[in-house]
Amino acid sequence: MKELSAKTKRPGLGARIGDELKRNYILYIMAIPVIIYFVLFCYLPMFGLVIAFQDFKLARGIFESPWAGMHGFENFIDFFTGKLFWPVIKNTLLISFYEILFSFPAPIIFALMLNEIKNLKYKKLIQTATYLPHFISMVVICSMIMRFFDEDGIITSLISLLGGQRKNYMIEASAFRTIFVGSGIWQGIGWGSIIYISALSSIDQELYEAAVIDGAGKWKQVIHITIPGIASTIVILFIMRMGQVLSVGYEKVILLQNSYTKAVSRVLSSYVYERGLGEGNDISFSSAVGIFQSFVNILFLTLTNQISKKINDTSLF
Amino acid sequence: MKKVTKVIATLSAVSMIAGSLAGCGGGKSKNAQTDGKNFTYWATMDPNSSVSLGNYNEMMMWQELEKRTGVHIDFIHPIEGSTGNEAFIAMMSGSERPDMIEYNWDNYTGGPQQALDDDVVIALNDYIKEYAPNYYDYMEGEKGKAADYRYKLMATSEDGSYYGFNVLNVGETKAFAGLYVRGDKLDEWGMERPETIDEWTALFAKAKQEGFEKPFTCDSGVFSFNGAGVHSFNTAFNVGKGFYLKGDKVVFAAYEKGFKEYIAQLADWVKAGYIDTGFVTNDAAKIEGNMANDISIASYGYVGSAIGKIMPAARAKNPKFSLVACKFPVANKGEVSEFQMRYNEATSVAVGITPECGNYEAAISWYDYFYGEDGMILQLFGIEGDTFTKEEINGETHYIYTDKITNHEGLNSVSEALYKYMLPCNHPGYNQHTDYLNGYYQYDEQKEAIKVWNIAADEAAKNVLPSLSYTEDELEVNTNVKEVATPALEVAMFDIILGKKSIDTWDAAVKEAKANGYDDYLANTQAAYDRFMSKLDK
Repeated sequence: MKELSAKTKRPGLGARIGDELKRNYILYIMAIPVIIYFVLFCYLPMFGLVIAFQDFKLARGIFESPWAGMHGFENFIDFFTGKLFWPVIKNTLLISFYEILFSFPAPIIFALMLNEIKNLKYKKLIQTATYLPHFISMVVICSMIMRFFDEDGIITSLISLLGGQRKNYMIEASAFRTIFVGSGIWQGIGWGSIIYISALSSIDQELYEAAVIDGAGKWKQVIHITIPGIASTIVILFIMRMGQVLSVGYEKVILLQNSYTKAVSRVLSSYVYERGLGEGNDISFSSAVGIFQSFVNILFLTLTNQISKKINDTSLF
Repeated sequence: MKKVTKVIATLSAVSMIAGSLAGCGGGKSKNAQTDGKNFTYWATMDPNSSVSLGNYNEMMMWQELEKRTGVHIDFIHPIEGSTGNEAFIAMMSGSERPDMIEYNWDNYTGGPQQALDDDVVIALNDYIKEYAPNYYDYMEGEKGKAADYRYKLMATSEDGSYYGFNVLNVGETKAFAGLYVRGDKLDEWGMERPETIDEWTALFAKAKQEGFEKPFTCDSGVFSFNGAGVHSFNTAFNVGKGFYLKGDKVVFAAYEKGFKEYIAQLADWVKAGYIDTGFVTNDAAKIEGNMANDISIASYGYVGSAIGKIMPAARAKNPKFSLVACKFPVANKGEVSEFQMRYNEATSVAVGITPECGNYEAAISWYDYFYGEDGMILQLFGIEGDTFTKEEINGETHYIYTDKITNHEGLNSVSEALYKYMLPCNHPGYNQHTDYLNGYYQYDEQKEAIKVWNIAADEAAKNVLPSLSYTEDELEVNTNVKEVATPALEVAMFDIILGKKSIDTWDAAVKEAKANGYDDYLANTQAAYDRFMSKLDK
């Protein structure tokens, strides 16, 4: 943001910075805590990444632990050649793909629908009701999900009413992704729609009036005014979503998984947890997997950003 | 571009709200100076304590100990909510180490021996005779001798070093979980508590007839081959759980012949509709619901967290509701199974002294106080007249908790009241004292249960493995097995139980598990056990 507002060329850099500081010093003072936060909690800990290249020993610490074999890359090579590499990547990508396909558009559609509700009280009620799952702890959410889908859960009952089979869906490996992604939509749809609702509210109402005069129906209005009005928001959020392609949260996976679904549910982050803090206790290996995850994420993020820049001139950086 | 700025602004506003909602606790730890009478002590706070206290220094037990010994302790607690293991890693990665660390040293990679080798804690062997006479007596003195030195065996590392002051389970009670059944219904139907598979079948049939939809409910751990110590119907087929001992040999339950018969039996029961088929995904709340709402007649659980929790809840509706313990099932009536849950004489939860501690002798003799008579009373019962009273019963002195504890005013449970003033369980010192258990368990059914589940405590000592430490290489193999072969074998087992596959598929599943590394895992466990026992020769 700073760069954007300071983009007037002409005087020398020093003078420009001085001028900018003088003019907006209050803003800069306000930014100091945030900058300190990022340096302290995001940049300094990055130094710890070196343990991925070490055979890290807790007792010896970062400075005295020996370097890993194979020029420091032993942990990475162990991971890439391990039995679980492909299954884990596949699970992560599949879940991520389904999330982008279904969970990403859901709040947009929801926001568009909400936007059409004219009764304010009803609208508020729906909004509040859909926010609720976001505020429930993940542990509770997961035990609710398990209850809903077990042999006599309400959703299982619903499925059997509609002619489906009555069984414990939580032990069906084939149902895991559907349950995972579907419940994710339920959890996040209300919260995720906030930003779109705010974007919708900034669309000039006169455009709609003009459209009505031109004889456009509701559907045409949505297609030609509403969606273009929030397009840049959608694109930005999409780019950021692409930056999390390999980051499927571990909490929900670990809470929902059992022996039956382990093979389809083990994703990168839960694998990092299993190996680093769970049974394995291999912190170096976990860090290596974590670095790999971040690396691929950044790759996707930049790639999407570049493509978007080319196609429609909207980009994050 | 302007629009983009706006999007980012809104986004950061939203994420800031989210961030502030998530909140974060600040860790504050000040390492006070060690002048010989001042120590820093790292420990995870018991969740029952943190309900009412912010720091162990606020606890009556530690305040009184300071009064009696003159030693001041600065406690360092990890941020609430972080588990012992995560918190330990965070502490170890910090720049300053405390003088004493209370931790379950099994969770340290390589176990207690590795912690000693890595200089995380010091070996106490050279000090305890002189500075910790009480502890020494229990390990190597008269009391140790009387117990066949089993305390020493369980509380020392592979080379026989004392790595700290351990939790010693001194009471008679070694088992705290087992099968239980609705006592009021048994009385109503004029039935005895089942002992054999046939009697269990008869009970399930009767219960089904009386409208109990899922006569037996439990979670996956109760049936699985995994989970040493969690015994259910496997005992009737003379087979244990997980890895256990036959003489000096470590065996794996799933390899045993009896195990197949056990699975076949469970499958029969599922077919007859006697078992809650949701067991794979059941959690504690589901089981509690099944028991309290007359859906199930029997289950598996702990004295405190199952019987002690379900009974009061269910009695609100049905005053007669009672849960009574059953002996571990046997093949022929009248026999006693050699398998039962059994806590070892010492656990690996121990207070270790770190090399950073300036005054080993003072620290060691300070902690040894807990292993003396006065220290034990302080830790388990608190202060006389305040939290307990002494009573002479049949010529023996017993310690009885006062109303302050049993009525737990303003707190949710007896546990929370106990841990507000003292640390009677899972804290290094003497644990599982009979008077503590009797004070802690409020129902007669609970007091009886620990007797019923403990009838084979001496027998079981022969088949229960001590807590073992693996080398880094072994650990890597074991982890690989647990990641792939364990869930696969479990699925094969549950498929048979649930009737999805025939019992004939079991042998192939076991064969596959062997090929996927279970043989190596078993060999590693045998090696670890041999290393553990080799200290006896030294």
